[in-house]
Amino acid sequence: MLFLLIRRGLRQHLVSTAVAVLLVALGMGLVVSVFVVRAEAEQSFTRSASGFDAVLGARGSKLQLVLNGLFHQEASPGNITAEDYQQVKALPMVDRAIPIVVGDNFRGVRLVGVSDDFFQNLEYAPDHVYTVEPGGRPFQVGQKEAVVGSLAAHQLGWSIGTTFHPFHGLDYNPEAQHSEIFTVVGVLAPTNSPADRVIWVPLEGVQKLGGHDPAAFTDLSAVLIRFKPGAKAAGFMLDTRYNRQGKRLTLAWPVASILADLFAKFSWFESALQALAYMVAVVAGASVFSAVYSSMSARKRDLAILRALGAHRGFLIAAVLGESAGIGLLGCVLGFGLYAAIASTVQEILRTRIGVLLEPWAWNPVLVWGPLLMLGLSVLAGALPAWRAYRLSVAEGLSPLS
Amino acid sequence: MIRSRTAITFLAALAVLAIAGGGWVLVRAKIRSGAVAGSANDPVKPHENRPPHGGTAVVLGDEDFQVELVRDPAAGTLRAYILDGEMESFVRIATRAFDLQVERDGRRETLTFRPVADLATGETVGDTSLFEARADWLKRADHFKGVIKSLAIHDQTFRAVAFAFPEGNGKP
Repeated sequence: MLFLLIRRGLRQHLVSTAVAVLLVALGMGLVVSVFVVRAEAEQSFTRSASGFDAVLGARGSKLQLVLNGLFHQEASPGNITAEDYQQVKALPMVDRAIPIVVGDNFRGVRLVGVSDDFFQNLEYAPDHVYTVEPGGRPFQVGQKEAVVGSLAAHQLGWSIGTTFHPFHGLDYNPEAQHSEIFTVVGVLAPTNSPADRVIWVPLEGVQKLGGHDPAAFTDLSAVLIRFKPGAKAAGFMLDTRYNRQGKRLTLAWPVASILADLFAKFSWFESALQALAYMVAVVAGASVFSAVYSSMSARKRDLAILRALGAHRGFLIAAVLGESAGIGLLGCVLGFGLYAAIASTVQEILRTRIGVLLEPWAWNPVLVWGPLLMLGLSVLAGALPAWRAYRLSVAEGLSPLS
Repeated sequence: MIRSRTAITFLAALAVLAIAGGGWVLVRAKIRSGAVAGSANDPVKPHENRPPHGGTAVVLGDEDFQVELVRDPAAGTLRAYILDGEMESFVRIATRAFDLQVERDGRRETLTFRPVADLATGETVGDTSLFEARADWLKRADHFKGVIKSLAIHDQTFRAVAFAFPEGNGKP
């Protein structure tokens, strides 16, 4: 009986109910999206540090070093020497030190020169090492060969045997084509990290391209560093040496903290979105109120008849609150759909442009409190009409309309 | 009849709630972003008077500078880092050498600290914050009394600075 009454109430004012449901869905979708996308983006970026603890590069911004070395964004702040690489590699607390060189591209896809250590049991995540897909092989040092990241291979339509001329610079300039020809010998197995977005070539492949300064043939853009397990003080020691005592190089460490700072810089934007989402949520609450209020007003006579037939006041309250809760519930279901659409769009943008993979359905408390908030707001919006229904007298409800 | 004034009041209350909530979120964001702005790239400022290598701090003058002494028993060396008074920054000096008078087990020794060049830090002899002294007895001696006879840092010269190793010279 109660359910039928609620359903009838919702259907009787279908337009205002639909508008209220849509607004609740919008509010919930926005609240959940803002919280989950922000949290997941930060975690995805941290996960995408490719298993490295620090980046050593020329004196400059730590963030620029991390973005350039690990995310293949931004330009390198400068070069370091091969001796710097040898010195850091020889330190007892350093497990792996991978030198990289950047400065060339193929139609906007970055070429990254790297040592062949890269393909030797290097973990980018626990129990996951960089490997070349079956049929291919890692490049040979000294050869004009390339291993292309899975996303870059898809984007460029490349496969094993494809040849290409690199272009000078990090931005594509058709007039800056190098004369050297490289051959793709492998496709990197997908890592869901920025490594998928670039073309990997031997160090010398980038260093000794025509037009590059012969005096800088051995220079490097950065060294990616992983400390030995248990070497907890390693980061502090090297931070003191390179960043505080030194004035020539910069050690970007710890990577997670640098990325957290990056996200913190944009917290004002995130909060603006949060404020917007909350406002939409409150407007959604107002629309639920409006829908239930007008529904109750229109059915005041029906409710009075119910009271006359012996319905308890609590029954009327339950009917009105059930109507607002029904709107909230439908809105939440639709809101999850909206969130899925927003999250998958953001996921695709981050994957293709930066190479990090968002996990929108990973556990986040907002996935529970977001719908509960909207449901609570909807029920709250029905409180006043419910109170009116509670106080409705049979005589007033049955009095002639004119 | 349900009065429309009540409904308008309710809607107005919701609007005020929305604006107040939004404003609160923005103010919180402003405070939060202000607190962390620039922290990724700023030099490390620990604001702690702790020797950066966990060594022995020897205060020079009225906390004008400090010398951090770090013993490496395996190598038989004693490294001296020249730091500012708060031990936040390393201070590079042109000094070519300085002596440390050591008293241990009733014997007197002299350690001569010489400048160390380091490719990693860009320090060179004549422009370094790191000095090193070497002696076989440093492999075993973990306690001694010392006096820095004379150390010139920029335009100041510090003389007869006494301390105990590894306690330091008792100043914070």
